[in-house]
Amino acid sequence: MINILALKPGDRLQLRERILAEVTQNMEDGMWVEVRYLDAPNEADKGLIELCHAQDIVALLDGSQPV
Amino acid sequence: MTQKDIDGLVDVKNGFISRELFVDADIYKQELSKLFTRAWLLVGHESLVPNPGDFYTSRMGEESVILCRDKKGEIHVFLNSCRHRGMKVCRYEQGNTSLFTCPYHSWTYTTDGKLQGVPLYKSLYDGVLDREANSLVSVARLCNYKGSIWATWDKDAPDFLTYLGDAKAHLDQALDCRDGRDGGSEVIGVHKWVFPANWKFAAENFLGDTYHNPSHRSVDLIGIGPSAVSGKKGRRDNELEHAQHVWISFPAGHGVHSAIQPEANEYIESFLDNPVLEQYFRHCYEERKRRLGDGARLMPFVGTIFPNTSYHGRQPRGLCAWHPHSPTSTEAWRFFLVDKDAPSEVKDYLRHYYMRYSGPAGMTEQDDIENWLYATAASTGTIARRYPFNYQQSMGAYTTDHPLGGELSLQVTEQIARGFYRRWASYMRDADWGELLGLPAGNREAAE
Repeated sequence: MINILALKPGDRLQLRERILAEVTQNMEDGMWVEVRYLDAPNEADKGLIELCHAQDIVALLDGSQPV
Repeated sequence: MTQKDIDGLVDVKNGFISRELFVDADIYKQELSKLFTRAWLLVGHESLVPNPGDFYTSRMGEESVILCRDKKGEIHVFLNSCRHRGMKVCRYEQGNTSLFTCPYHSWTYTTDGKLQGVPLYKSLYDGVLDREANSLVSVARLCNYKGSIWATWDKDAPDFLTYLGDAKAHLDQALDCRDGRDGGSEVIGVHKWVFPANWKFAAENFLGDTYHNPSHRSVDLIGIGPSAVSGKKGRRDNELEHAQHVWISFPAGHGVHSAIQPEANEYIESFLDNPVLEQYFRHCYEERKRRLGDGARLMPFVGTIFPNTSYHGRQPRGLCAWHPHSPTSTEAWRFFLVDKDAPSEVKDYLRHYYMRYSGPAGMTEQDDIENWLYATAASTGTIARRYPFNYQQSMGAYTTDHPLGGELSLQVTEQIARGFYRRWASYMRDADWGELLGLPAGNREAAE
C-alpha cells in the first residue's frame, strides 16, 4: 500500500488503465494527489492535469516507497 | 394549499391567525417547499470567509449549505450534499480547504463547486462522466450586500435590493459602520442554539413587536446596558429617548421598528462604563452626522427581513437567522457585528455586552425564548388549536404616504405582523413575484 501522504511533486506513478503520471501537487488529505498525465492510451489525455485518487495508483515508479 | 384553506388560516382583515401555522406538520412542510425555496435567505457574512479556500457551513431552510470563497476569491453558496449518494461533503462548521471530499465514495469538488475528482474515473466511468453536470448544486442567486451574504434557490427571484425595497434604509443602519461609512462591519462571533418553538415566533418578535416589552421588565430593573454600572437601568442605554419611534410594514413582508431623531440630533451619553467606548461612539455619532446630514436622524432599532432574518441595529448590533427544524423547533443563529476597524477594546467590550443581552445565555433572549416555547407548547393541543391568535392591535392606525414608505405607524402596532402573514399567505398560494413583492397590480408586469 502506498503512503499517499508521502508523495512529492515530481514522483512518477503508474496508474490504472495504463496511464503514467507525475505528481504535481499533494494536498495531503491522504486521499488525493494532483497529477499530470505523461503517457496514456488516449493521445488526447497526455498532458492533462487531473486529481488522482489513491485507488487509481498501481505503483510508485523510481521511488523509495514500497509498492 | 387552496385559497379557501389559506383564508381559514390567515384572516388579516379581521386580525386572526390560526395556531395551526405554529404547530402543524403539513403546513410546515409546505413552508419549506413554497417559501424557503423562493425567498432570499441570510446565509452568513463575508468576514466569516476572508481568505481563498475559507468555508462556513450554513443553512437555508432545513438544508445544509456551504458558504465558500474559492481560489480566485469569489464567494459561492452550495448545497452541502454529494451528487453521487447525497452525503455531506463538508462536516465541519468552518475552516479552509482546497477540496471538498465526500467521505462516502470520495467524489471530490473544488472550492468553486466543480466535480474534480472521481475515484476510478477511467476504469468505471470510461473517463466520460459529465463532471460539469455533476457539480455541487449552487444557489440560483447570491448577493453580497455590505458584507452580508444572501441567497435564493429561485432563479426567477428579483435581485436582492428589489426584494428589500424600502426596508433597505433600515437594514443599512445595522450593516454600516457606526460612523456612517457603507458596510465595513465584521462578525465578531456566532451563537447557535435550538429552542422548542416555531420559527415564526422569533421572526414576528423582531418585526417590531414592542408590545412584549413588559416581559423584559426584570432585565430592565437589573440593568444590563453599557452604562449599567454608572447607574443607568434598562437593557440598553436610551440613545433614542428624544426620537420619534416608527413601526413600518413593508409590502414584501419585511417589518421594522426604527426611530427618527429630532432635528437638533445631539449625541446622548452612552457607554458610560468605559471611557474608550464613550469616546469612540461619540466620535462615530458626530462623523455619521457629518457624512449623512439629515439622513443621520434615522436610527435603527429592530427588524425582520422576510421570512426569517432579523436584526438588532444599535445596542446590541447583529443579524439573526431563525432556521426551521420542525413545526415546533428552531435553530437560532446570531451573528454579532462590530466595525471592522474599531479598536480592539471596543470590540471586546461589545462582545461581552452582546453575550449579556442576546444568545442562549443572554438575559433578554432568555425572556423571549421562554415566551415562544411555552406559547408553542400551549398551542399544540386539540382544544387550543380551535382558537386563533388575536392580531387586532392598532387596526388601521397607519399612513401610506410617509417618505420612509410602507405602512407606517407612530404607535405600537400589529400591522407589521398582519403584513408578514399576508405575504406568508401569498407564498403558500404559489403567487407570482409581483404579488410577493406587494406591487400594485398595474406594476407587476414590469417586475416579472
